[in-house]
Amino acid sequence: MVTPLGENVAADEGVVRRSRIPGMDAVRATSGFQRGMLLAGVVLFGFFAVLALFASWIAPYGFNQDRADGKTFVTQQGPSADHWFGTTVGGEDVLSRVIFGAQTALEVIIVAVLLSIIVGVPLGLVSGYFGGWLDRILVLITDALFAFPSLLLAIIISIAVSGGSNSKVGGIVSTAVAITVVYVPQYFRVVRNATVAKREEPYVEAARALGARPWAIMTRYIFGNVVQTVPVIATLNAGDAILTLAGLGFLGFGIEPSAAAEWGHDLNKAIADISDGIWWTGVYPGVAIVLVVVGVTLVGESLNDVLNPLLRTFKVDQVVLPKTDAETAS
Amino acid sequence: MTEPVLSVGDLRVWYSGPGGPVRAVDGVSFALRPGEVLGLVGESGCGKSTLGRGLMGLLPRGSAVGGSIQFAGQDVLGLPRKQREKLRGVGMGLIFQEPMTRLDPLMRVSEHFEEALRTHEPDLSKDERRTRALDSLRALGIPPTRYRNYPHEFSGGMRQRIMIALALALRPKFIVADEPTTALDVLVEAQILRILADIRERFSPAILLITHNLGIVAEACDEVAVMYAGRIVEQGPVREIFADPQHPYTQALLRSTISLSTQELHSIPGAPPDLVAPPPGCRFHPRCEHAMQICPTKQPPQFDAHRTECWLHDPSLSDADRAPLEREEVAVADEA
Amino acid sequence: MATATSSGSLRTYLITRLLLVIPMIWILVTVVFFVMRTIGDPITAALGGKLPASELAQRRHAAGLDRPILSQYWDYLSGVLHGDFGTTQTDNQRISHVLLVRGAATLELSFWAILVALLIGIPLGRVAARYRDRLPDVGLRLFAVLCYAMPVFFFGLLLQLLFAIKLGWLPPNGRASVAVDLAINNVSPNTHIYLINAIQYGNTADLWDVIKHAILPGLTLGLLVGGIFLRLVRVNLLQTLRSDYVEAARARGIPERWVVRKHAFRNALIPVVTVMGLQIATLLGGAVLTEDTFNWQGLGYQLTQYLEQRDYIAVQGIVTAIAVVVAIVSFLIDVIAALVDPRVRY
Repeated sequence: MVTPLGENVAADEGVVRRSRIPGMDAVRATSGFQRGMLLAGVVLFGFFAVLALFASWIAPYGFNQDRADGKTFVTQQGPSADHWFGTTVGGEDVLSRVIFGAQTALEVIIVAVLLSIIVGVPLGLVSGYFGGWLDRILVLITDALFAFPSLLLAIIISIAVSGGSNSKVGGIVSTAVAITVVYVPQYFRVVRNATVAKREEPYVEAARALGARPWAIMTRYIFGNVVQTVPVIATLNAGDAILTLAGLGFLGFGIEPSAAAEWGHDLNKAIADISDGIWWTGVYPGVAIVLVVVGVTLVGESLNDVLNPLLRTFKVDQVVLPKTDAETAS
Repeated sequence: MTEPVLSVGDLRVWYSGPGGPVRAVDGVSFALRPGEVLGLVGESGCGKSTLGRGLMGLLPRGSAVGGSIQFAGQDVLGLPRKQREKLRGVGMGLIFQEPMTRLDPLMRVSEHFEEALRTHEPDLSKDERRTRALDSLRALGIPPTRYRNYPHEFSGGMRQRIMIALALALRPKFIVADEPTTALDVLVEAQILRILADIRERFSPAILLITHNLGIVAEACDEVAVMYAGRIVEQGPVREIFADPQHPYTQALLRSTISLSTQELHSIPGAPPDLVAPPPGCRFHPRCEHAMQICPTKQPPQFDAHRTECWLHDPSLSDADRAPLEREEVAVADEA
Repeated sequence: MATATSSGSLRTYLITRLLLVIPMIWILVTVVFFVMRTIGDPITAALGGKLPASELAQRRHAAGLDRPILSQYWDYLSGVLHGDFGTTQTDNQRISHVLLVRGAATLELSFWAILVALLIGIPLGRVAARYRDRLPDVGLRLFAVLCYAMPVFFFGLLLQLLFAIKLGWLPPNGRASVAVDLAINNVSPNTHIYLINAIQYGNTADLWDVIKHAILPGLTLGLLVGGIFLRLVRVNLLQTLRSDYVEAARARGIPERWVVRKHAFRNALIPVVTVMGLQIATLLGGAVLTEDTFNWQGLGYQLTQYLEQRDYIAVQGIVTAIAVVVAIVSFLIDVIAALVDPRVRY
């Protein structure tokens, strides 16, 4: 498959499996620059994960809060001591909205990625292993979905799923489902292609000859190998999913504003602000999105670099020839 | 005795590996006269390919070259990069092992020839270039009707012939043929060998034929050099070497060749040497059945007509030096 | 690989690809239709509590929504085949007309974006490959990641903030100033592509006005795709520089510059053509957001308007049309890829 940045995700060529945790081998095999990328990505993502988990304790105010101690906040105020990131047109604290936005993003993405994996991976395994018309139909459908702009697909699924539900849980779940539908084809495709490749391997043929049943072959032999690529795709996907979530929010879909803070939605409101020179309502949420996606992408790309043997860089030291006896003599 | 086209003196080519410098070529000397074919044989990984690449100057990043290479009177290693580039193709040509991927898939065969000829002989007119290319191809058995085809429209054997034709069209004085038939089946191999013989008759370039196949050497070469662990352990006329091999490695190689008269299989015990940390002294000593006390201590000089690098041929050894070398049995696990 | 005459296999390939496109379009149209229908019929969903039941029933009948779903589906399908995507609820326009007028705007935006993407992505990718693992390369890779990670609407916002509000060099939104807009749309024939219309109109100041309005949106959408091209060219060039035919060319003494330009680079560009097909989807998705940010009245912008007004018939029509366009364009790109790379034939 071709990742969002155009790289090819290869199967686990050349990486000797030593760990049962999918993806750990790739992590161990990174070196130098790649490891730096990986570390930077983990730190970035970790930072936001902490924000998300402890939002209620870290954020100075609620995401919808426009007053405290009986006093309403001044609307559209720039960054100040009380409001580090300023306030919005409705008087909400931007910093708090950014922090709670992290929480929303994480919730949606985790649900979406998990669902995508739960649906996409087994489907890919089964389809790749058994082949036949089922496989052909699924491939055609997923190719068609794959070719479709993900945002538009997410929009119509979001319409279909939510159809009016306004609660926070409903909003998060329906948005997550919309994102899931968009990304299931990716997992399906990669797992299916890897399965088709592994299916022809001699050891699978040997197992079949010994009478192993398809279920056993799939779980014991193929799954373990194929699943190594999933974490890489998941991290790259998570970045894309966050962008899609923000896009949905920007267009007014997904989470109901009163139910949770969402960065994309805030950016939409911020567009109207800039003609007055108000930059803080847009820049902070925007930077947050960029940092999270960069973090997740760095992790994914550094792992991918390792798995793709063509891109692996071995540090090359210039060889210096020692003097020969003849040369030292002269 | 005519002047040698190529003469190599104490050549060293080390390239950079994960475990340290790899001493692929570690002190090699030989000379080639015009029209002569020198076969370079050895096991996989003994440095033959690197030698060929090193002569051409096509080494990976981080490699180092030492010693001297004299080509047509010029000191090649001292040349600036641009001059070296000029030498390639028209002075020294290279025929690769794997023909399937050696042609640009986006360019027609004709364009390959045009490009090469325009680079090296800019005075030729378009028609002259075309004639030269077609002649070259025809000599290799490729008809002019296929001149404008793309590489993927040819089989492996045909692509190798196109590669050879391309190399020859530039009329190089010296050709390195790096295992030109290894990737091809036996029938095609025979064709290519016939073509090589033909080339010798027509153009008489000097050829360095790198191969691990002794049969090809016997058929196509005048002289042969046996390479082991980065050094040439024996070299001389083919007939002589094959009839009366002096070095234990050469003897073992010839013994392990399978022919119709083979009764049992021989192999050389032990594993190929580690080129990062080669065995001290004579590099073959861990696998040699005649190893003596002196062998691990000093690198043997060259003896006799075959320039054999083996202490067995030193008449002036003391009895102590000559005593057989005690060795622990090479455990199977050690080989792994 | 079996040898084949060029023209024969090319024709076969194109026909095979065409035959694959048709089921793909059909699947997309079907998916869109049925997904939209899950919320019930569009009219009730939009106007459910707002109109009396009799009025609703009347409207539904007029739109043919009270017939069995399969016959509605059939009608819709045959409509699409004839280029009839229905009529919008809210402003009672033929959707095909909307597609034409607004689609031209999106086409224009896409043109600018692709221009930016190619002019920036490809040369920079080449630089990155040349300085592999050194500072320029690291910097460029980071730049490419940023291009991808930054949401299109955020980047648009930043550009507006900087160049339109703070510096005042460029207009913050729209396709042209109001007066210019009116003048240009009176040109006949009206292609709805402002650049072409402006050239026809002949006034240089107006032409410049149109171009100025296109710069920020084009840059925004263009960098999104440009970052992808940068990464792609870099990776492919690194691969081709190591390939066997490049080594063989060097062995023939072809000068290094020429080897890189003619052999390595040209081969590296092939996947760019194919990936461009995939990027059409990205481009259109990004276009929706860009148009919304810059009030660029294209199809995406129109779509968001209809979405807000819950005009689901219009939404369905536009989304279906986009799906068809994506499928057809990716087919066309496959054709170009086949023409460019002689190996790509079935």
